[in-house]
Amino acid sequence: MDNLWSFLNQTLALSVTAVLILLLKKLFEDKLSPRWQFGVWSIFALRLLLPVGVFHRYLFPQGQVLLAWIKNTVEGTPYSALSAPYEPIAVTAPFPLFPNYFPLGGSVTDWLFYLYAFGVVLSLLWLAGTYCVLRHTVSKGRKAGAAETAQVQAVAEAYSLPLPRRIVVLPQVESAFVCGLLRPVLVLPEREVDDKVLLHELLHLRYGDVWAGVGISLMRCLHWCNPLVWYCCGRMRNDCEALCDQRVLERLEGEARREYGVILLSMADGKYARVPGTSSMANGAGNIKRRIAAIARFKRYPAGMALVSVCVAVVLGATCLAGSGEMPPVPDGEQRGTWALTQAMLQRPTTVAGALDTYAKALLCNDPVYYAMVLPERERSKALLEAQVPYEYYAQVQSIDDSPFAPLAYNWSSPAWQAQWQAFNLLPDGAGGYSGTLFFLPLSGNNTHGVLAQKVAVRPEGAYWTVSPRSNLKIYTGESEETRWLPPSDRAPWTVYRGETGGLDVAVAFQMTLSVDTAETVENGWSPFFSATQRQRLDHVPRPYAAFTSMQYGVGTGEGISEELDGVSIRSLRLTGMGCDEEELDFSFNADTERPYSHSGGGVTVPDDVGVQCMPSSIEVSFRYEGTDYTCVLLPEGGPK
Amino acid sequence: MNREALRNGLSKVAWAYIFLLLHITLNIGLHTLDLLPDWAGYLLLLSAIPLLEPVLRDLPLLRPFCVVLAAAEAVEWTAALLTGQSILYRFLPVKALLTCLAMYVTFQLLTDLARLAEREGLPAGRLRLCRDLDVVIRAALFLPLPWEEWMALAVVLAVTGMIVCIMIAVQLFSLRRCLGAAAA
Repeated sequence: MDNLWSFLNQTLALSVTAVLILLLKKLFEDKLSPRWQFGVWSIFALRLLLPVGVFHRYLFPQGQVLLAWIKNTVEGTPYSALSAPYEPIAVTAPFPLFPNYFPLGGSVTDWLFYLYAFGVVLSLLWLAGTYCVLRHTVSKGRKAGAAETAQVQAVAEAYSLPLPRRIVVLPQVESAFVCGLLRPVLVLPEREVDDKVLLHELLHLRYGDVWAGVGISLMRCLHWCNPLVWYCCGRMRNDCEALCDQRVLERLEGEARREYGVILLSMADGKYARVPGTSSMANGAGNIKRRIAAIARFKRYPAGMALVSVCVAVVLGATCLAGSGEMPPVPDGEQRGTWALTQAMLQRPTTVAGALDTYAKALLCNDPVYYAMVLPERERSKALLEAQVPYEYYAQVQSIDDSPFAPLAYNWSSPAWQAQWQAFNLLPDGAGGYSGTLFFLPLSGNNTHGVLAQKVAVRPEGAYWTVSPRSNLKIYTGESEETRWLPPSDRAPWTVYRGETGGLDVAVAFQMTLSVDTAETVENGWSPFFSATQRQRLDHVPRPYAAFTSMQYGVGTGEGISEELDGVSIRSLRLTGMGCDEEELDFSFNADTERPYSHSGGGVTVPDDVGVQCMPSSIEVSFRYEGTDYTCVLLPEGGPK
Repeated sequence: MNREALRNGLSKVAWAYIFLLLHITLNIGLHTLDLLPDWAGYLLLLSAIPLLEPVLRDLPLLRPFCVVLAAAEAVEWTAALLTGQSILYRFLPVKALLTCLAMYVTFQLLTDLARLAEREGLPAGRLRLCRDLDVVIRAALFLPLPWEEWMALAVVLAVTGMIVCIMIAVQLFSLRRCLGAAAA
């Protein structure tokens, strides 16, 4: 948590978890055992430790949009030193962090975050101080006498429980308690202590409840300004005591159980109930009532119920910890303003294909909201400003004539030009990103000819991918122009891969297109013969998490795709380092039954979900030349040609 | 023990289970009409509780759960009928809450009925096994696993769940028949 918004994000997720747990606890109060009642708080503890938004999953996605919208509205003027508008609210750690130290002169939200962090430090110091004072007080206590020690030993032996390191007597305490994490001390009051009270404290010792107490205190410190967390911490302590009561009652019989309740009633003192590293049977008058009610309900829960208890906890844990991966939809191409922008910025592209799809849709819709999703931070400000201007249909229509798609007579169906995109020759740029050329082609069935192309750079920015243009849109007009660019094609760019084997200098020209199928088929109406006709239409909403769904490549045996080298036939290609889960892709060609790749190359369409990200970093090629078989690894030579 | 009331109660439980198990829907445009709505199933359960209460002491504990689930399912049914979409289940915390309640109701109900069957000298082991499988499958299907990639596992779980549900329904009707025969 490095700004106020990340803290709010974390504490709100924790609050939703708390409400859900409290609701379920209320509903199952008399149905599930005290073990479940206390154990279910571990989900709360894990939620507190787990930063919100891990793996892009959220407990309450709608709440994310609302919080981000509030942030973007409040931080509209970018003067906060700790957070920036339209940046995702990222929670990096469950505690306050200051990666850039303490930049001063920021916004009110910055000061509020400093106040929160100061509160955390102060409450930790207060807890540590309280513990030290208690340890000091305990250290001054009288060592337990032989009778008291014998009583404790007798109880421990009777119930096979461990003994504390030390037993001391403090005149000022009302009831017994265990104090200390590593070297626990059993503190007894001056008056006589019932065996059942000792049993209760020894059970705390046996099950390490003092550690739970420390955890609860730390949780309260981290979210000191959230009253719901305070309430939950109180309930946790009480549930811990109720569980210990249950354990005691399971070891007692008949009248002794009733007596235990009577003893509990006499303990309304909660003096040391909140000190970390202690476990006191008396945890305040307010909680005693609830514990007495639990004792009145006491029963040995049947073993069969453990299964449903676990299953309920699993569902609760899966909900609160893993959340949902479904985010509110990416806004339609006609939505503008802070809300639409907030929704869009929460769904920035997380894949290369998603980034290219978002950029292509931004271009086809001329939509500043989509541009803001995909442009790198330094190029985003113009899009952010334009996205605030309300959408006007007539203004959009008037701007159509200025579009580079207009001269090619592409179809325009509000709000997008009807075109499909392909990424040509995505080559690693050496800095973790890729560079290539984005091509726009007409949708099949459209009576349009011509292609548009633009060089682009795809780069990672934190957890997201961005696209920035590296040239203006270039227009290629002409009949059947689009088919001339499909691999293998001399017109389309290619990259030469070069290597050496058996004294031969081997060069292979390689080109590859990657695309996401975003065209959808729609009914076009009824023809004169009463049958529905269909046409393709672009799904203009970006798919920021998309993977490439199709790939097509061309290969030539020389330094150009159509270069011919007599006597050379490629037997197989093994493409590696394409950024996909599959380490390599093999393409084999049987020279006896299929036409080998001898001179002009060819193309193969790979089905969906290949998981390819880019051009291969190396190609292992097997070929036959003058009757001899060769195998050689080739590496790309420079950029695309 | 009023055997006739017991038989009626079991009839209602068995039919309630059929309502919860089967979903026969009619789709008209955006409107979806579930002909065997879950809320009717929970209302049947609710009406069975007073009849079975004399022999199953813990059953009234399920009354508030049945009311909540019937209300929630009624809202969902109405929303599906009017808009074709879900209202409550869109919110993950609400969905989790209702799933937990539904799991518990089925589990506790089958536990009580298995106990009743044992008391009547009938075998209850299979009913308990189905009960356990049912709750485990429901919890497993709620896990945020990549179900689309693990399609085989998802199908196996779904089919097993369906078989278990059918077996439970068959056993409930069988229990009713056995107790009815005993009453006669």
